[in-house]
Amino acid sequence: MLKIENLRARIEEKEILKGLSIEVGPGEVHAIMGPNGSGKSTLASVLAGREDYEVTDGSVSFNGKDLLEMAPEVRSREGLFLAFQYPVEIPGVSNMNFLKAAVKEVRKHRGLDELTAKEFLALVKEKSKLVELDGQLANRAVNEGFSGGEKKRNEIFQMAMLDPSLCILDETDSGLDIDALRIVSNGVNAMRDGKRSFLVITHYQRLLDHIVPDFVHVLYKGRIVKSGTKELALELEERGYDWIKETVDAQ
Amino acid sequence: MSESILSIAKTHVLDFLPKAHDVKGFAFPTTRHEAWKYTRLGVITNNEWHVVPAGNTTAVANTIEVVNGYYEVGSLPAGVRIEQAGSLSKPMQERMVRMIQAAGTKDIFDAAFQHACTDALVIHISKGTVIEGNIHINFTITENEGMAAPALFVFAETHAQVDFTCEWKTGVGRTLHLPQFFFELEAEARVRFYQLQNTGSDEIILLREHVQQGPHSHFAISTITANAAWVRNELTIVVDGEGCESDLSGAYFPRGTQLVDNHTCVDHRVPHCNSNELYKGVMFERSKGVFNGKVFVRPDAQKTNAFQTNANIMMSDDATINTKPELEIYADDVKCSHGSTTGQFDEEALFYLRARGLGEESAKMLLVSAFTSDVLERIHNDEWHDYVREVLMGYELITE
Repeated sequence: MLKIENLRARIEEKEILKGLSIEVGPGEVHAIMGPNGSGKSTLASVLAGREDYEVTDGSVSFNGKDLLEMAPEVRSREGLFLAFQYPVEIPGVSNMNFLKAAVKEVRKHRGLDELTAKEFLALVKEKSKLVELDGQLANRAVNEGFSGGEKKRNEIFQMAMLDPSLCILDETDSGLDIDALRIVSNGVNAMRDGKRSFLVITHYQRLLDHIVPDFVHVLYKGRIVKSGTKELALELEERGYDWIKETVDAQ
Repeated sequence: MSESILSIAKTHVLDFLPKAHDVKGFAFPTTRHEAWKYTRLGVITNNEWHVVPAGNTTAVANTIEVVNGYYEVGSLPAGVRIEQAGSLSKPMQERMVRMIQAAGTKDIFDAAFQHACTDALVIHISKGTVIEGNIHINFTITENEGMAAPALFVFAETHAQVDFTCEWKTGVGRTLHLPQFFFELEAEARVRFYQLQNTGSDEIILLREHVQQGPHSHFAISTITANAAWVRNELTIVVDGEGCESDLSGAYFPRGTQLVDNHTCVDHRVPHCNSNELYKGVMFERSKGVFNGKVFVRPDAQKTNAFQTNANIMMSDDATINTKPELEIYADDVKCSHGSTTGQFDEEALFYLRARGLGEESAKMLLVSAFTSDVLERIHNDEWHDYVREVLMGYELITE
């Protein structure tokens, strides 16, 4: 599904990812945890194709193809979805028109027939229920005036609409209250079907109570320094990141 | 250099119009003139222009065809009365002369208009008449290097309401449109003038619009420039009655080496009036844009609300925009604001859209559509709104 090998990336002159490797198989849920500034969001950005970052070494293969060669829109059409940490407000662009265009492009790329207006609306209805998204929100401008929780629910709604094979959740839990966290997690869990893979990037363990990972990796100073199962997340919750930092820094 | 325009001086037919007695007394303005600082006139001065004879045309109901500066008027709704050059009463001629004199003979273009004006149309909307739908006007010039300087007068009597839609359409080769419009709104009248500048790529429009608003009248104008080589719209609104509403809006999308210049002036002379102005530009390639928005609030014009916004996005490093708000406020109990922004695309928004599968070009088009949507929403005529959108979509400037 996704194979990252020795990935190095920098923004301007600052190297942030320093030889990161990770492999995600079909249907697996991987959590990436780490202290602030460890490179978590950089990883998400590089995978989604944000142009501010320059990849200096390493490779990323996605379903056997070279991901780094692809434009951001091609990555999306190929089945990679990034749920943004800070979803962008775009006044004047209606959520519906935007989604219609996005779904059309994605389906075309995947060799699927264009949805009729009726089919599209049925899909919207079905998927918006997943995250208890009010129909009114779907008709507003993209994220404009949405609360923090609504923005994150909108991300998961879009994710469900675009039917990706790899979902990257970048700090999706940030700024969510308990109820919103539950709704968003339920939406994500409903999409777990044994084939779709997830990369859940988070600072805190609490999201992983809801979205239970198969594997947990600790990212520190641009590399994966420790990997384990969900118990590792609990240990981090209990002990914090300092013991890992100390171990790594001592080496 | 000015010989080309001067050659038309002998051709005028409207003898009663005031004439700048010696057009040769005017030189073409240069960029040393404040009003022309950013707008070069090469496309006008480097060509030979001639006044074109009337073309053959017919006009369908509710439509006015203006071909080569001559009017052909289709049947118009009840309550609309027209007078045309040749059948103008003496008092009407005098009224027109007064209005043209009040507008002034500022420069060679006013002089050229006065000399080249071959036809004039006066549209009266009778007292209390509310026109359903709209009256449509088309402007075209059918000869290469032809120029036309039609005069249009709209008199909206008390409580009259009318919507105009107006399109500058593709003519033949290089052309020069040099029209002047005069609007007078009596008390409580409402006139909405929606225009689309959509000529061939070698055509020039230099449009002067003069508006006079009486008490509690409402004037709205929307000017969408979709295509033309060179456009300058000069709009002057004199707000001379209390309780007026004035809405000015425009959008322009110049490409290649096109130039679009909007000079507006709202003159608040009396209290309790609102003006609201919104112009937006999307600047492609090596295009040039100019926006100059004057707002005067005279000492008596207390309780004026005057708002002005001009926003531009630069789609290319080679495009230029010169934007200048000019507010002169002499009353102390007023609310006035102006804002001017010029910038690149919101890269975050662009990335967000691409990350959801939209190609770069369609993502940009979606953002341009969003950027200009509030200007188009000021067109309160669904059919025209949709038509303008269709034309812009045809040029791949905006998307659904």
